[in-house]
Amino acid sequence: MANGELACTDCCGAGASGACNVYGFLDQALTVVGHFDHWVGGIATTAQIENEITFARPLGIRVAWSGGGAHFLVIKGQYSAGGIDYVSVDDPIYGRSDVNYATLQTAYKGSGTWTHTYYTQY
Amino acid sequence: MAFIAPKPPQQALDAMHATFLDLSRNRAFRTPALRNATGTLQLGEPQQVFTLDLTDLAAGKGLDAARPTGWRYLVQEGDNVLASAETVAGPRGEQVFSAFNESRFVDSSAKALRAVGNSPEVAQGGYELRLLNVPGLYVQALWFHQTQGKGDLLQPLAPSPVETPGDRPAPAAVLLKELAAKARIPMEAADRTGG
Repeated sequence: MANGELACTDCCGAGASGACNVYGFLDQALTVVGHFDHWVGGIATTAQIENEITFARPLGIRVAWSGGGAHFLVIKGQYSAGGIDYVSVDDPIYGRSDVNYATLQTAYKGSGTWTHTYYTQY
Repeated sequence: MAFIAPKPPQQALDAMHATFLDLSRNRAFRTPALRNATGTLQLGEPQQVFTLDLTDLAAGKGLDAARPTGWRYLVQEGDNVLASAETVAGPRGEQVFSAFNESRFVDSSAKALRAVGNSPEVAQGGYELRLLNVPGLYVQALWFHQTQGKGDLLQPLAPSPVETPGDRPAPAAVLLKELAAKARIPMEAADRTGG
């Protein structure tokens, strides 16, 4: 997929830690694999998350770090317990977390603000 | 290895314990390792979490610019570390429960803390255990803060994208120099992109 996105040929080899290890657009990557539906600026509500998960459509989200840089991760579930709304996320760097929904919006890992939501299809 | 025990504010302790005890009592955890645990779960190794922004790194600032953003505990079943439990500052500055995390950072934290007794510098004592988070470069590091002096040490945690070795604590300047050199690239990325 990285080869296709970046017009390269060695992203699974020597380029993996070089020219291919660069920022990209999640909507373009999802389009390459045929699972992009649409994106919106801002967050998804818990009701929207529940609806997407019910229909087996995980959501991609973008968080912008305070002080620069941004990151993509996946929402794959949500639930409430002990008076807190949790969102289950899979993060390619920070692994699996159940995150306080309020925290995810403005302070993911103490620094990230949820800026964009990417809806998927299958 | 005995560190100088950091003292989480009471309000952070309350936020952590209220959530942890509620889910533990009801066995209501959803993350895999915590959900499958059958023994008694305990919170240990509290660490204050500090976040260092790319703008500060690019400006040549060091650990003095790292902002305290929360607290992290390791969740243990006996001697096994299964997860971390974390708080962050809420909108009014109060600490709120933020997440249970099961990742390679948790595993590498446990291994590093078990091995740190082999470090001659740390073995001398006088260090407070902290966690340094540089999310813009996907770096987490154990931060051994020397409470009397300027001899702070950093040890990158796996998975680490940096060349600074993660097998032992090293003077903070070593890792900070590498991070500063890498800080500008993500800062200059196009809108709506990410890594």
